[in-house]
Amino acid sequence: MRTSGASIGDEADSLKLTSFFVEGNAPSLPLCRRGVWKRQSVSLQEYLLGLVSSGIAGCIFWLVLCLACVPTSMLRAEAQVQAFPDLDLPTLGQRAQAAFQAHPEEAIPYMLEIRGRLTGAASDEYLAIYRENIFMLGLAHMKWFQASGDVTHLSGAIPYWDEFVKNFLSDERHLQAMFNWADCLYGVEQWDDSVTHYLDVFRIYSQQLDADDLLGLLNRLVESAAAAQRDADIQDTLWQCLDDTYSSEIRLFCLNALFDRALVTSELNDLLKLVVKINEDRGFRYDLGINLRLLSVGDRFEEEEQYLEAGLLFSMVLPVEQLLFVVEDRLIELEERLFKRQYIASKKAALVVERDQLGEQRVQLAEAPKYTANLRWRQARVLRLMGRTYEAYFGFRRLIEDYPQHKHTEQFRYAAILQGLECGYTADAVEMAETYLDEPAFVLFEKPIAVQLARLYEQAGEVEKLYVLADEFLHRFPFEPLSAQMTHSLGHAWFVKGETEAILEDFPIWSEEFPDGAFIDSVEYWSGMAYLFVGDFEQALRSLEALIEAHPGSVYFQEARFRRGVAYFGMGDYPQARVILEEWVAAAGNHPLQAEAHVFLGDLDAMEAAVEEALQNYELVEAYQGAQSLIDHAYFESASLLLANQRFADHDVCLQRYLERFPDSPAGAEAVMRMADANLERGEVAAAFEYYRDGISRFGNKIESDHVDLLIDAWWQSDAAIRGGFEETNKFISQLLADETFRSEMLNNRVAQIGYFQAHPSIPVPLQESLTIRQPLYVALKDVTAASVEGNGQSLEINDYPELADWMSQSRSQLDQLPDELPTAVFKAMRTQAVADGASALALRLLRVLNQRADVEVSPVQLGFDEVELASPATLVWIAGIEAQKDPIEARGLLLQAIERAPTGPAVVDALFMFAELEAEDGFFDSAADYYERILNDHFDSERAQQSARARGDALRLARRYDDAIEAYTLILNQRGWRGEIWAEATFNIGRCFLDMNQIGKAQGFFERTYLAYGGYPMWAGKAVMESAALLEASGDIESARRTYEFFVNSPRGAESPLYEVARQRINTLQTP
Amino acid sequence: MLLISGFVASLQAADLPVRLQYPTQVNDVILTGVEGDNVVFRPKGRDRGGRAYLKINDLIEQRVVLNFLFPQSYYDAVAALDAGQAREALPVLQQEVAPFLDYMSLSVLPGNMLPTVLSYLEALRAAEQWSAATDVATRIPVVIAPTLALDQIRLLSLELFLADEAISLTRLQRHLLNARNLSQDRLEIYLQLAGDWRDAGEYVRAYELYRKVQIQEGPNQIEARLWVAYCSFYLGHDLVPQVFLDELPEMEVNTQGYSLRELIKARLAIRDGEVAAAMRSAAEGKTYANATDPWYPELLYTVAVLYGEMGMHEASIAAHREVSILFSATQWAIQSLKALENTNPEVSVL
Repeated sequence: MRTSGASIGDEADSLKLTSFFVEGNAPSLPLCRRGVWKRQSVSLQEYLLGLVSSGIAGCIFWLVLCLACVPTSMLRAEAQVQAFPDLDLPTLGQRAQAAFQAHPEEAIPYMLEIRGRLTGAASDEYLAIYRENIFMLGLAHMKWFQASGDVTHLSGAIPYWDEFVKNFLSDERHLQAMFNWADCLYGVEQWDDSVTHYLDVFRIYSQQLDADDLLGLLNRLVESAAAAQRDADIQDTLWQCLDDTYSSEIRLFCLNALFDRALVTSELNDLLKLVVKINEDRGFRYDLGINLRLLSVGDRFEEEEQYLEAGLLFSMVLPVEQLLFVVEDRLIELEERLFKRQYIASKKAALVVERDQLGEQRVQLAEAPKYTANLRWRQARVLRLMGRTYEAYFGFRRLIEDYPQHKHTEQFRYAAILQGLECGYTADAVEMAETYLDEPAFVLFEKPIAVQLARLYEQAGEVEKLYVLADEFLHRFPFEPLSAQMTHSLGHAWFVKGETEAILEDFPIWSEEFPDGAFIDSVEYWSGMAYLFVGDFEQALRSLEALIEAHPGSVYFQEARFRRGVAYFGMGDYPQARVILEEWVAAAGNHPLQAEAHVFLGDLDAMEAAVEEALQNYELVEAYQGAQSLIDHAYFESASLLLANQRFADHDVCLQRYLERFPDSPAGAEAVMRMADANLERGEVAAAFEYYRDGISRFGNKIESDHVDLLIDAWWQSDAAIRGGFEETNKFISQLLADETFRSEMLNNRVAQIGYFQAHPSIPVPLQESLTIRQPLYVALKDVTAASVEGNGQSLEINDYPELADWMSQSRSQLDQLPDELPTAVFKAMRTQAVADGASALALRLLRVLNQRADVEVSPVQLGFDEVELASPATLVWIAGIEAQKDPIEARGLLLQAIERAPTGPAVVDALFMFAELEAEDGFFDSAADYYERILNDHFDSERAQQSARARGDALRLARRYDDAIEAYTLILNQRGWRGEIWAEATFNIGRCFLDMNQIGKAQGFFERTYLAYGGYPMWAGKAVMESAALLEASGDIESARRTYEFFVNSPRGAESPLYEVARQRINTLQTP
Repeated sequence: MLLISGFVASLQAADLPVRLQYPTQVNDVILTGVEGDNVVFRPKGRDRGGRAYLKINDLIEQRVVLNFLFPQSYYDAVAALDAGQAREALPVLQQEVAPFLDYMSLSVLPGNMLPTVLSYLEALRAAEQWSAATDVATRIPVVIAPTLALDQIRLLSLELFLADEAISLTRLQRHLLNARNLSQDRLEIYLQLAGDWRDAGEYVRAYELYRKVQIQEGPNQIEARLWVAYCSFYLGHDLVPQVFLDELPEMEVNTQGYSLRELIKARLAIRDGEVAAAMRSAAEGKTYANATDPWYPELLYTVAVLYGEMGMHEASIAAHREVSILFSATQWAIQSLKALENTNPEVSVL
């Protein structure tokens, strides 16, 4: 089937050419009227069938006519007869004409004869005939080939085309001759010459070739160049044909040819140039074939790990839907315009053509393969491989959204989850993972997704969800290694949340259910950890040793061995702990727990007063890159050791080094605080206040540094203590020397002395202690003081008591070292500066202290969202206190925020305490008791512990949980250090609890114990007396009741009680018959 | 007194022979004017004072076509115009069109009046007679004239811009802005022109047109609002972009304009120093954009910049390369090339 070249039998063309001839025009010979670039599908012969055109007949007529018109005499005179001596030229012409169409091979001898006779002819007429004959000879050979299929006949044509082209440049058929010459070369597979001649045709005649011919030329040029390995020579020509002036068919053909070439040569720059060209050109951009091609080439690049190139190509490919959309959009627009006649009449035809073309395109696109999902997957995958994490994530997400039912949807989802995690889009990842696991049909990535989700829950502290997930997973896949990871996540989450009871309750059940489960080592490990946490070191040891014995290949093996040492440490078996830890440290290499191990070893050394060894071990904590909390511990314990050994300079160097190494550590302020305290202890008040100032300015604007608030408070407290100490010390010493009565009381009445010192707490403790029995100062003063004095008695001179003089001088010296200004002025100035510097967090901190200590007023209105954002935990607690006046619920939220932000910081106690108070105020006594209990459990050394213990007892009592309340009050009585009024109160309240439980006997016992043992606390003694006597009255024992009242009224401090008068009246009443 | 739009006042216009083509009959009459919403005709021949008042809406309903009769010279002029000889065609076209300019309120009726005016306008544009072209264009009532006319006005606007004809351009822009109650297809051309201005960096003109479009409820309202926010951002407004974004309804990811919204959000987030939020918006916007969307290169560039901000330099370079190769004709490619040169001078050769 011929698809190239003009049809020989095309009658219309034939007539047309004849008419040209008749009119005297040279016949046009469009040999390649319709070009084709489907070269693989066309055989050489098929192609050449089309080379000889219908113009041949016209040429022959023309030749015959020419010969007929030439005067016979002239022909005869110049004839060079060879093969046909009997025939004159016109006859030769007629014979040639007769044979040409059906038997061109028979026409050729006549033509050769004509050629021979006219060679060298000089006249125009002969020359014209000669020229025509040469042209026809070329055609005849081509026609002969057409009929016979013998390529040698094409070779025969070549010299004639050569001659014609070279000798008849001005002939109108010069183009056709050049074209035929090139075609013949192509036909005989002289590729190199063929390329040259086609390029010549293009160079000279490209503007005169119609689109079909040009396309045919390019088609054969590309094939010839490939065969001749001259692809490089035709690149410019092909690029030239990408210009808008060429038809879309030609441009597409050239683009594809260039694309082929770029792929063969792997010339990246050529390819990218093409890519740019495609992108610039709407026709290329929206061509289905080009898009498919880009997709496939991108795929190849991806396979070759050339991701940039692959990504570029993939990103260019337009989804088939988009191609279709554009076509349909334009089609609708055109149809509407045509229907509404919204066009200028002269442009209607073009619109109709465009509409029809679009219609064809629509059909083509509708039948095209649906590659969009595939494309999007590749796009996302390549982006991921290129490290373009965020785009990749949304690429995968889009796949899920666009193709929820796709056969690879599980893969899309898993990829999106992983990619989301890489982007830090945890909430998205959780949502996608939950959705995946909720779909029973999804099983492909069920396990890894469940494990990922467990980790996410763990990170987010979503322990309840994690438990449900882990429980289900473990029951479905108990022998799956991933179940160990799941158990680990849950164990870790519970442990971090302090829910060790959950570990100890649930994990053993799982162990019993699946004793050979893949997660058993994890269960053992976290059980051991939980036992360590709750202080059951023996159980911990059992769990850890079980793990070590049964799972030597476990990931927990090394860690369990280390934790054994910790368990011994907890049990107080320090030598065994040391043996295990030292052995472990030597064998564990660079295990991440090395730092922690050295903390324990440092602590063991410190306990054994091996200072240098302890310091060395603490130093290794930092060397092993331990967690910041461990490093802090190591530094601060080192500092404490140095201080205890009075190595003050080393102490300061150690903490200074900490500040240099960890300038951004939240514990930096604590380091400063320690240095300040150490200096203060040594009387270096100025230095201490410099440290305060430095710490406040250095860390004050860091929200997370809670110790700054302590520094700020310490400034006020130290300032007040030194000023108060100066005043009270001087006053005390002066009175001690001048007033013998006072001196006698201080020396001889211990109770009076304690009372005085309690009322004047700023008097230095060593001075207080120097006045106790057997102390030198006590002895010296006792010698000159009478036991009983009337009036002021003997006055003493300070110079005789250098110790007292020293105390006065010391307090003076400390006072002199204080900052010139009082704290209120200092801190107001600091705050002004902080505001000016934009140090908002510091300014807020200072506002807190000014509000709390200098009565600077702050209303809830001043403290909004911005302040909350800037507040340190301590400041947040303060804000909550102010907010509580207006909105206790909001205040609770702030307190919880403070607790979450710094669960172990110094402000947490205040936050918990205030929260408990708010709960109690609203009648949530159980909850209040829980919060007080947290303080007692976690912060027993804090200043709030006593208050919390008392308030907890009260809350439990008000919740009518009397047994718990009695237990809570008993806790107070068990604390020797808390001896004092709180014991009286607790004893009384235990009595009240028994009373409320109607256990009268026990109640009576505790009331009696209160007023008998704690008469020094008249308020509680009074209350106890009133309750006790009332019980006696109720039981009818009036006399005992009266005696009870009398005991109280006559007690030394009974009159100080507000109930004194009530008791007295009650006595009177009971005495009345 | 000329009336560009509306049918309120009567017109003192020339009498013009016209053919009223009903679906089943043809009447040759003389058009004498327009009074209110009536077209006034009289019979052919000598004016005896008789008048027929036909309501324009009735004519539309009856599918009447209004064809004026032209001499051969007119058709020759049109042929000349089609052959690219605009200056030669102009005198004849001007002569034929001049009386029509008083009847532009009849543009709503099908027929050959408006095409004739548009041919004249085309000739004026081709001859670069900008002021005269603007005069004609501003007489076209954009509210009622077919969109073909509006499209011509759009092209004229762009040509005036290229020819640096600021005064004429301002007049034409005002003419467009003064129109009220535009139909959907007309608003689409407004959007197109606004897009042209935006591409040219003429954010004020674009902003004005987008605001015009976004006032009217319709399928283009959201897109117009987005572009208002976009232009507003580039005009340096502090609050307006966010205000317009806030006014948008909830958008699904596959909604047209979703990715543009994300681009604007990313831009605003970058302005506020919120890199992570900006990246989320930019990357999501890029994913749901079509590579052929006009804002796609900017989205890609923004993603590239944000990768850089986040210290992901490899990804940043790859994205910048993509911009510079695929969208080499855009300003974003220039900026990407600069970024690449700053990052690594050797990679920019691609």
